[in-house]
Amino acid sequence: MKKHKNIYISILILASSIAIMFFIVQFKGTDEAEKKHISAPITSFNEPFTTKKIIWDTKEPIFASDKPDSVVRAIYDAINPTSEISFSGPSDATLWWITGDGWNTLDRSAVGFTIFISFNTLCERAVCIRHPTIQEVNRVIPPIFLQNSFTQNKLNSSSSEDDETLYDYILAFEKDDTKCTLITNPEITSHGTDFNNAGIRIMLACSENINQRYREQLPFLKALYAGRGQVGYEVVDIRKTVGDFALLGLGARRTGATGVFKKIDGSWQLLYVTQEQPLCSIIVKYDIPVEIYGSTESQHIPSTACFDKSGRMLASPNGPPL
Amino acid sequence: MGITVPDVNRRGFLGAIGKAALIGSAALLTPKVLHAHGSSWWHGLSQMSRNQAIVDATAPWMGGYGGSCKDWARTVVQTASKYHVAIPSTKAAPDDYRWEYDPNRNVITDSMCRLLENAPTGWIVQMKLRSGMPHTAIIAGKMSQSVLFVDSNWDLDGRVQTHLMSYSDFYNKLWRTWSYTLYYVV
Repeated sequence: MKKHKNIYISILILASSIAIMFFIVQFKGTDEAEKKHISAPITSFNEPFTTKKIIWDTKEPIFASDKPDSVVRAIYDAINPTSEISFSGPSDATLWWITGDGWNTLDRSAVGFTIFISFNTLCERAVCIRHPTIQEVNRVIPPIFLQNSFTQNKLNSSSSEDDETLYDYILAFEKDDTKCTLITNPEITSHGTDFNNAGIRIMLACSENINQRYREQLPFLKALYAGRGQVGYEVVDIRKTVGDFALLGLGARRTGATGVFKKIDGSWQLLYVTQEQPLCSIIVKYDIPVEIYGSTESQHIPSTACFDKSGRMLASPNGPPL
Repeated sequence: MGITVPDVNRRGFLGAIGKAALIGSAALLTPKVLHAHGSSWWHGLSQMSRNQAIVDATAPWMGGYGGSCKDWARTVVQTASKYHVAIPSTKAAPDDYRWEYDPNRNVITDSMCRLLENAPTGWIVQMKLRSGMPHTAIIAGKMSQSVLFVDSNWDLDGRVQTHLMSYSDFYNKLWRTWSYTLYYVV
């Protein structure tokens, strides 16, 4: 009996040792490996920035009109192109605007431009947002709006650089139907096709279509939030309507999904939300036409495909063969 | 703009992070790599090679249009594996921080409670954010304080990009504690 007891104890000790070793490898191994292979960027969050100051046009920009095109062009031209920042635009842009009643409205036909500021160091939001070039942009552009009789819209503006209510740091301005946002995305992202080009984006966007978009989108927003008893903080983007079905993009302040709605008894109702081409079973369940479910904007997946739960791609029961 | 890191490859700074993290995590993965499924080319690779193939398959997409995050990730895995492997569909809300069970065992989650810090490069994160939105991202690199994701539609524009996020920021952005799942493709 005593012999057996010793064997059991030995097995227990051995098993415990293996478990401890496994734990060490599993949960500590990565850190150790990283320390070994990565050096410079890890501790550089609080290093001082060295980016040169932006040079601004000495002339005070006057908007030729209050139309979005004129506003964006005037501000774009005021920025000296020799400064150490890069631009894209002016071009089509997206404007996100919270209306007075709290609904979020999206206009993808806005106009705007993006300023990209390359970073050679890593930083967290509180530090990134205080980069001298970013502060310079956010210091100089707001007075241009105010001098041209625009007013700041507080509902769409962050209260401070550290206010994360709107996720990004946003300053919003309006005059009559023209709404503009100056958004500083505090996350370090890549720019274009170059992994090496990492930095922060500031985007200016203006639109005069918010009222129209609001009228179009409100029925879907109400359907999206039906039963939740609240005004949501998501936006919708109407992509297609076919008969009584509608396909919409749903977006939060980062990431989105796709929603399929159906008009029932004269009002839109949400059928389902997905982040991918739908399950074949859902298509059958709701008898969704191919023109709707095949529009998830994933050009690399056949528009008539659907999937089973395991991820196997199948020809849709409502569509032609793949 | 030059960046001083010891191991800068063709992808530069962010790419170097991914590469270094992948090398660093190789030892971690090696013992549990070998899920031999049939004799296909993909299943014969080591887990490290499969992870690397997934990260490599994201490169041609950089800056381009990827569309929906999950469909894009699905395509990346398919092209990386030369169409040997498909990842499962996402569960319906509110469980959309997980994928459906994969009867083929092509996709493995070894734990519902693994910290992101301990997931190697090339693994895929299915998360549900505070906004209630699901999102899919591939781990392209790691540092002691941050993770580098490569994903599509993070900024709601359907674009593929990398973005850096501290671990604490990641956890703060989640819908609930543990509303994310880590997967690796075998």
